[in-house]
Amino acid sequence: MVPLALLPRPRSLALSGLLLLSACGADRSRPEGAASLSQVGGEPEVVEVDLEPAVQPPRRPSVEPVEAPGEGSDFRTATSAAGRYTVRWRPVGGEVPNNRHFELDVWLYRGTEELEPLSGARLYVSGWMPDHGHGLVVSPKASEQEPGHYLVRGMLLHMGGFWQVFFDVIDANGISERAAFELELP
Amino acid sequence: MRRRLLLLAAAWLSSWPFLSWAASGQDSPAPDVLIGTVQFSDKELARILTLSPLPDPPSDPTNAVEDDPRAARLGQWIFFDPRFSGNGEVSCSTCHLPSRSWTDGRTVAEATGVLERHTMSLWNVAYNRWFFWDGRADTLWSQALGPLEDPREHAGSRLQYAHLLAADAQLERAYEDVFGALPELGDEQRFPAAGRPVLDNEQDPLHVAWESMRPADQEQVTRIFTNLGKALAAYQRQILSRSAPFDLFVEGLREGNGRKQRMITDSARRGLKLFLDKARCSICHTGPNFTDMEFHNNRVPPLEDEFSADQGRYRGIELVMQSPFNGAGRYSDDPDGEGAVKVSYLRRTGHNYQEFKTPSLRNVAATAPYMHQGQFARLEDVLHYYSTLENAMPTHHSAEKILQPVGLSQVEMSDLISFLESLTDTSLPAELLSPPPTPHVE
Ligand code: HEC
Ligand code: HEC
Repeated sequence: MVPLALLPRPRSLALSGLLLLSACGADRSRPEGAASLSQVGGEPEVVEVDLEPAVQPPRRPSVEPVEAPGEGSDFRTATSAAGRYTVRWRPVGGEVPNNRHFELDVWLYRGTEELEPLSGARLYVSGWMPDHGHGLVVSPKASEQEPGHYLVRGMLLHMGGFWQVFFDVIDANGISERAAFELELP
Repeated sequence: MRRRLLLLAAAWLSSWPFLSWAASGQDSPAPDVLIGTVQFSDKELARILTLSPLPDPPSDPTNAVEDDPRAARLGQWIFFDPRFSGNGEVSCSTCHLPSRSWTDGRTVAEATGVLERHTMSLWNVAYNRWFFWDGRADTLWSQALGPLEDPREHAGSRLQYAHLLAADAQLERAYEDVFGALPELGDEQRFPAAGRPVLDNEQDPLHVAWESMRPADQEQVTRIFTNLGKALAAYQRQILSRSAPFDLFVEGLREGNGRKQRMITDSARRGLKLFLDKARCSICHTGPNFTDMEFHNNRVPPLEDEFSADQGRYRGIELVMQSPFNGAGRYSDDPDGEGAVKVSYLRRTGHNYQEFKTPSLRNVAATAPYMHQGQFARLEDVLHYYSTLENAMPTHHSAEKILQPVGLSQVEMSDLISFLESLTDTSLPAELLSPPPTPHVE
């Protein structure tokens, strides 16, 4: 079971229960068909990319499990909505700063248990403050550093409070899925 | 593991209690603390500590001379010198009057023409992430280039200013001390007396003169122009407000010094508590400069209907990204580094429509009128608005959820005003308030 590194939210948000469920990959079976962007709360946080029409994901040979980087360290991990990808991230520099630009160190994998580094993916990071009704003021940009390892530049959480942070992963076949994290920024 | 603040209340001479604290690993619930007659929870006290002191301004890597005293001196000279204008009558200090807390007391600004926005004060500009109400500049130096060529403000041109530097021996020396030799500008064919790009009117004589120049010559003149901006920024970096009674109060909290804790009144302390909690001000006016440095749509009704189309940040994002003078551009002293980050990852959405920058609240009691068009004459009016959102503009785009009518009583409003008044710092050195004796350091 992939551990979820979700910070607890002080007040209860009905939707976050749903979010947790989907992020936990309650339904692990591979969904057929359409790419999904899980949508949580408030105004849709539209990712500004054209999603290609859904295509059937190719069957992949099973691969040797890789030792995930940052295992047991400060990486936070979540599975994308339908269980296709695993996203691990941590802020470069150790902590998520309030209202300062920072970078993210991200590993993307195909699968949830047997993790295979996901190379050549497009990654869009966005965020949302459900209590405030707004998202990020930036569009961070990801670049692949080595297979499956991405650096995201230009992150900025410009206010303290409850944030949802979304990782939209689109693989080389154009299959998109979103992994969601929650954090309370002091 | 959360560190807990252990608060110790003790009695001060008369009836004044004062307190001191120490951070400890203990997790015993701290009692509320009474300061004067105002009760603060440990959570509130911890948040108060984040509001002071205001550290030194962050450095701006895009301006290599920002801390050069010779640049600051030249900048101070230019700030007050009306020769840097088309008609010889307008300087920065025409609108940013030191005697009026660096603003002008008008609703919207006016010099050779009328602007659609209110003059911002210059207190603590060096801390800003964005400049102008719509953030269309990302550095302090590039901000200054706007008014210098705006036909409603200084209404001059970069060519005119370059010639002015070369024609005045003192200015020339001041410039060359910081930026190196001025190019030879004597050839009138190559360097007309006045000229600048006028993007919205190619028939404009200034534009025609500019277009007659060789690109390399244009480049030299534009360099001089941007250097003027950098000198002006070096001067404005010194316009600091961070030793207000409120700062002494917070110092008093840290030190357990009752005398300092009494530097602000009971009413101001009640206002501070409201500011943090019920009135929700600190959601946006956060940190020791009392701003989140970003933009919100406060739905303040426009001064006149004709102004209602101000797109605010929505347009500002477009402008700063296009600007040849932004932190990623070739006039930046750090185009590939940190100085380029702000403008390189900007995101523009419908939400930005009619958003304006959250202003710092330091010295705010001295900078009336308020808001981006000076819509509110007094702080009372500002608080009445936040209290009721009376006549708030409808939003056609997603509204600012955090902006809710906070329903303040008269007493609460006057307490909040007392608190805002406790942010007034009058300690800026007098020599920064007027032109220096010479543009260069002796
Ligand atoms: C005609 C009056 C006028 C003149 C002259 C003028 N300004 Fe301003 N200033 C304004 C107005 C109005 C704004 C806000 C404009 C906007 O947001 O569109 C402003 C904004 C600013 C800001 C942005 C502050 C912030 O917090 O974002 C700075 C800095 C500034 N001016 C400095 C200067 C300097 C330096 C000069 C001289 C080169 C100057 N101004 C000349 C009226 C003026
Ligand atoms: C949603 C974020 C937000 C909240 C909450 C908020 N402000 Fe503001 N404040 C702003 C913005 C943005 C402006 C500029 C708005 C404009 O010009 O249209 C502003 C302007 C002001 C001004 C005018 C400053 C000037 O120089 O013109 C004052 C004073 C002020 N706010 C005080 C307060 C107080 C007191 C509270 C709590 C009752 C408060 N604000 C709550 C964002 C906020």
